Amino acid sequence: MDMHEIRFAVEDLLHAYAHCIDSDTLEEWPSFFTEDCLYKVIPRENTDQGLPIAVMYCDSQGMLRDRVVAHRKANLYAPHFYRHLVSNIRITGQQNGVIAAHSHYVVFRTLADPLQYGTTEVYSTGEYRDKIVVAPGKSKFKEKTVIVDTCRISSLLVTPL
Amino acid sequence: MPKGPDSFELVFTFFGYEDDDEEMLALRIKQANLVGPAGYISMEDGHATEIVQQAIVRDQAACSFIELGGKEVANQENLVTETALRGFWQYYRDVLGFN
Repeated sequence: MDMHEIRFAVEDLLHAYAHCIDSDTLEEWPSFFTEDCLYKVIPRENTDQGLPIAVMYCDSQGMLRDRVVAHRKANLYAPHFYRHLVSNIRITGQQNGVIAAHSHYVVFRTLADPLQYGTTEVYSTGEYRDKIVVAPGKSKFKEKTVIVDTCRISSLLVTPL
Repeated sequence: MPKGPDSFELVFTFFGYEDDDEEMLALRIKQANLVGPAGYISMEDGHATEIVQQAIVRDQAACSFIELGGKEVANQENLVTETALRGFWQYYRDVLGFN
């Protein structure tokens, strides 16, 4: 694949990923990752200090599925939906067929409870640092690190970023 | 942490030890999934406290009391009970001679 095809595949993956979460088809979310993967949501406060603790940490597709099951069946939260904006996408490297990509995200959260229905807030912003296995057809994240500027998380985080 | 009459903040701090090996460190990182704002056991803590906060702000002169598991300290059929906490405070009261 040439650089244009790679770039297109990376952008398409990032946008499809955002759409999957925003359209509440969370059951598909793990399929964006390779089987042996790493998904990490970590506050910028920690990465700035070299501290390792993450807010969400999944190092297998199984752990990603656990997050979805918990979301659907166990967790209690105020109803909401997300709207991702992903931009500033840059390919920063390539090694052994794995593409490194950085991008910026903003997630707007809209409340869906009866009293506050339709109220939107800026819920989270930060960076995606991804390692992507690019393939014609379906590219996947081998690693996705979400570095969260908004480390004062409003209430809770249940839907993945 | 109270931030004023209308808000509070929950801060989660995790500790490790200098002599933790790689395996221990990896375990701590993985187990952090249980706690924090996305924690499997603590996710709702912030939200539950928020709901209580909203009620307090709205109903300042009111009071509310929910007795979980009665007044006694005894075996219970499920975990929806304050019996353990009641037992602790009763013993504390006895040990410190507050009777």
